[in-house]
Amino acid sequence: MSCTPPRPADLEIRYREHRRRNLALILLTLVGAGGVFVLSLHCGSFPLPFSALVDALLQRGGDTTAAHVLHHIRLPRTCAGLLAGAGLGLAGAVMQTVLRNPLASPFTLGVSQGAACGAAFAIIVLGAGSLQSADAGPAVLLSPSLVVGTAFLGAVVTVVVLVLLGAVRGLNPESLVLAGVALSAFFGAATMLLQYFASDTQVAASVFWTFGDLGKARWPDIALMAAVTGTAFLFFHLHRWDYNALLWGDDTARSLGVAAGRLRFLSLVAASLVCAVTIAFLGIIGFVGLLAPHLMRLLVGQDYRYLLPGAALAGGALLVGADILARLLLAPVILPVGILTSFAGVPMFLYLLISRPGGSR
Amino acid sequence: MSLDVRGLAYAYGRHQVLTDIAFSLPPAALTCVLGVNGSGKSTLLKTINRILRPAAGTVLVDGTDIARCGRRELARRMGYMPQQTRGIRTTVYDAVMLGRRAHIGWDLCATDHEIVRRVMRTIHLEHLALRHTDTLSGGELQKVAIARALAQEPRVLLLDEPLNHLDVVNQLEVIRLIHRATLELEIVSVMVTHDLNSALRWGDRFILLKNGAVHAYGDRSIITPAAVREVFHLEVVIDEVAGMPVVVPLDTVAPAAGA
Repeated sequence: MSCTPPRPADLEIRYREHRRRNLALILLTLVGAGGVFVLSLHCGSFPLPFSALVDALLQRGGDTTAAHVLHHIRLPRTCAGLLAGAGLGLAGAVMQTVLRNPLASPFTLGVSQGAACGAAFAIIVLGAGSLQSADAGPAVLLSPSLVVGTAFLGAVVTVVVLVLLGAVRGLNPESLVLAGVALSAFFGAATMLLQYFASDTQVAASVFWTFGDLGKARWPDIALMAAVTGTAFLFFHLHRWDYNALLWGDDTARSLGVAAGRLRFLSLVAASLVCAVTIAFLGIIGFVGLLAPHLMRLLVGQDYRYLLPGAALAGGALLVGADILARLLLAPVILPVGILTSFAGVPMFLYLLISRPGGSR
Repeated sequence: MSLDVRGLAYAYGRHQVLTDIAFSLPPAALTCVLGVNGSGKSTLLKTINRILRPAAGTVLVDGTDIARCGRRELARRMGYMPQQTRGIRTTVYDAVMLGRRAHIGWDLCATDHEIVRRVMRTIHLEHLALRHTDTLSGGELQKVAIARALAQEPRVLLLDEPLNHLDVVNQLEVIRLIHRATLELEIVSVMVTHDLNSALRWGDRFILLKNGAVHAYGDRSIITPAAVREVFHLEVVIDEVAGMPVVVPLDTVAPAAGA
């Protein structure tokens, strides 16, 4: 193939166009996330037309029911969805590179199962477990704070064990994934053991907790999620060039000045904490951490300068979009969004795997 | 500009891989590291630029002990091309720009772009600038890896089998580029290779490694049939064709007892 080498000025122009294209795709994802955000405030079993939505947002007019639905139900639910999706998307994008595994996610490392075991412990052993049924909407736990606390602890214990194994025994990324699978199995067995000796209502409560649901979050929870996810994003963004270097292997990354081991360690801690906070407040939400990064890789490639904001925005949009469906499909019954993300995520993920160039890398 | 290695040693667990390695390399010269599989060639390169931490010894670049440099500072002095490279979904331009990682502050600056463009011109990669690296051939990928290492603006360039998996045409092009860059940029280049003929044709200095130790070090005169027999257990004839030295393997020989 004979190509005429372009003049430097041409190269500069072409590269600038390439960057602009990627930035335009990120902007498009941002617009999509914004659109889904507005749609999420609008949609639901209680009709909230756009004019009423604006009035309620600006606290104009006298429709107190609309204002209540917006400020106490839809707005926190949608903000929680955006933040959780963004966090899971970011965590997935980072985990997949530092663990050199395209299937890495909170599930792979056992963080989700650790949190579920923690929640089951609070519900069954610490007595936070009875259910009270609300007239409308899902049943709620009697002591949600205790459940959230122990779920977070369960997730953090998983992370600490993995981190200790990595730091003390110097495990490589492949071994860390295997250790995560083993921890998953352990926490799964521990949860089943707890449930075996529990009463029917306790079992129901612990199973109910695992359903990922955006309606669980309150404003203080959302503020904490925002703080953790925002800090993690800043950390990941500062290391965007380092992740790009890691894509070429540890030896290349080290030769480019990256402390690969330390970066892997800190990134895993940050990503796992984001997942732990999200899962503790909202329950288990599958596939967003896998789907969002892989979707954005198809659009903007593997460059972390674009992939990180892209995965965060796509994750938020996907989760809130799934939640809209969860609210509308069997309205007025609201399905847990975790069920929808898994149902919708599997075929989408399989399609991405088949359609992407270069197979599963 | 020089590279001095003194008493370098490395062990994988209890297995001693490198023992008391010492040599001094001049700038604007291509040094070829030769030896059989498992003789410690790749480990030597990784130990020189501290991808692997040596058990003993010092490496000096322009008289500065690199053990005292931070990783970022070291990456500004030494470029490294690993043995195997596979493409990923990123453009050639961005892959070469990665070589600027140790120089980049908050964001890329005009100098970074200028250096990347210059390196791509030198390595003849401009026409591939916006191609994704996972669509490149083996030879093109090797050139990207060399360009990335050169974008580091190194004083020492370490190349681990850059001619591997390349056809004859690409071998010739890649080794020419390495040789030209070595001379033009006046850097210390160290290349691990199995190709005795390419080494003899393009190399200025030679290090023969045997069982993790320097068996011989010097200019072309050290590559003799006797040295090749001792290091590679190979009977060869070294002749000249069209003014260039050519190594013709004749037969293998059994290693001497204790070797």
